[in-house]
Amino acid sequence: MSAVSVRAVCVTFGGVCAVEDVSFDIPTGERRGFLGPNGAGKTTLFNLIGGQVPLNAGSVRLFDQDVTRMPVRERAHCGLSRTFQITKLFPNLTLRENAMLAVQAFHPSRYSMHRTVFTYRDIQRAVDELLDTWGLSDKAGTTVRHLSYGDQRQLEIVMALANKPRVLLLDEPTAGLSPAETVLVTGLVSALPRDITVLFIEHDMDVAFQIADRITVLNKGRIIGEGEPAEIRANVQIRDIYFGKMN
Amino acid sequence: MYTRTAVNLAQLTLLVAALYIAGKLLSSYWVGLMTEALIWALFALSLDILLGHTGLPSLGHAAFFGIGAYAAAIWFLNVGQNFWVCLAVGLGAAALLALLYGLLVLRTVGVYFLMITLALAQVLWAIVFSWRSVTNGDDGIRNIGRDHIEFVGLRFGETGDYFLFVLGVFAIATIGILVVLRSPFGYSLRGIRESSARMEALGYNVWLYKLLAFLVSGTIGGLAGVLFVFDKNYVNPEAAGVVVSAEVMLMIILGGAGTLFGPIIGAFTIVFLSHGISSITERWNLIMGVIYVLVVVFAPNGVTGLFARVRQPAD
Repeated sequence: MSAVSVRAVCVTFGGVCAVEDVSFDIPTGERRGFLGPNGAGKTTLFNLIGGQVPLNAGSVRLFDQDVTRMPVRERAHCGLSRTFQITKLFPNLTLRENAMLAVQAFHPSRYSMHRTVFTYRDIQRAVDELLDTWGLSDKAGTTVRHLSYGDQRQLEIVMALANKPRVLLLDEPTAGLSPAETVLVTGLVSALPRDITVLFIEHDMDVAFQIADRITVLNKGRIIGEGEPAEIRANVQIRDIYFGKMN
Repeated sequence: MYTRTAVNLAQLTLLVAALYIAGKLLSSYWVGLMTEALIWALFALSLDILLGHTGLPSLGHAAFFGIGAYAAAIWFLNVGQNFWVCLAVGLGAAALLALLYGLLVLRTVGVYFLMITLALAQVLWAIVFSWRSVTNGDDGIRNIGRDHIEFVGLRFGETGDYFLFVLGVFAIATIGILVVLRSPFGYSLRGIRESSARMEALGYNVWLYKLLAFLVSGTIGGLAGVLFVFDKNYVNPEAAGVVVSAEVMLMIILGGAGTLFGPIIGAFTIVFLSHGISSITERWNLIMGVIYVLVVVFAPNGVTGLFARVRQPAD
């Protein structure tokens, strides 16, 4: 069964096709990298899978369930989780409060207002566990906007993982990171359990080839190649398009 | 976390104790002013749930204050004079209006939200102003007697006793608001303020949270309106007008939005300053305006923000 199945999707912004007739299937557990020059439609593709952008045509299925018209929040409850290209955290809350909001998102008491959240032992324990697992406990009290960019990117991934997603979309997880932070995040993504299907957009070729099982290359809203990292690396046409300006 | 809530409760207890003592010592003129300030503080706290915590700048909050006051007053004069029934009617009317307004305004954000909340509040104001047979138009409703009302030995007719009653309601409501703000629901509101796209992606129903925030905020706004009408013994359309909406917003901005004590400090400061300055000069609005400008320029996070910066320079 495919974890993500995209069929003939089109998205236009004011007459311009951002994504045009794109189809692919991603089997459960795969790590799929998406490459392509700026404006190739990679983020739009993620936004239509995530539900942030409506489709003009085509369909999106998650584990054989049609989610084409499903609101963003319901896709989350279907097991879809994501990070954004431009970090979307809660900048004026602490790291711990950010993690708490991720943890309580699926909690049956998420609407309750008659008890403070600190009296929910299960939420607090899950937050502690999450922060311990990812080594963020010592920064728990820091306001997020004062964290380094690397820590913020890491926190975003950790929050996306809080409710044990089945499909994880990572939009440029290492963009703007220092080499050391890139190694950290790459390791974090590589070490994810195989029951999570990971789709990621990446500009750093080394990172993409290291993490991905398969790679899909986009250009001008269309898929121009798909294959294992070695095949993609050897494909002259893709290399020309991707590095066209540099040569 | 636990400790911060405990500290806030301790601070609140100190505040209520100090006000209680002040109420025993001061003359009835000052006690009356404190009653007024407490009602405004409660009203400001209710708006801050939307403005400071959810990030919804409502410029029509007087609608809830006004409908609470009018519903209680109309019931009192036409149906029955039981205070608690009047209170329930005022709260119920404010809650219903909050649901209705919430359904209408929550598709908009930012400046559009500001304008539509203002417009809806003006609709209520216009109804109150022109529906003379029920509301008595711009003459307002008078003769809402509170002399017969008694509760645990407090006679509402006495300025000091009514102050104590309002103080009690204020204490209970503020503790309630504190719990709501620290609940899973309250944290979700701040998440929405910070990034509603992230909240949606996490699986939250942002719209429903905003509607519930509207309901809670509007109902507490109505509570302030009911307390107001039994304090003044009259109500006129001004209670639902844009000046009230703007003034309560300024109180929050002055004290510091999104904090527990900011709206309280803002309300007390403005009530006492405007009474103090207006007893000196007729041009007191001019001086209040200068104060607002100074606060926005030099303390954009309000008075509490100023203190937080001194205490925690990195934050």
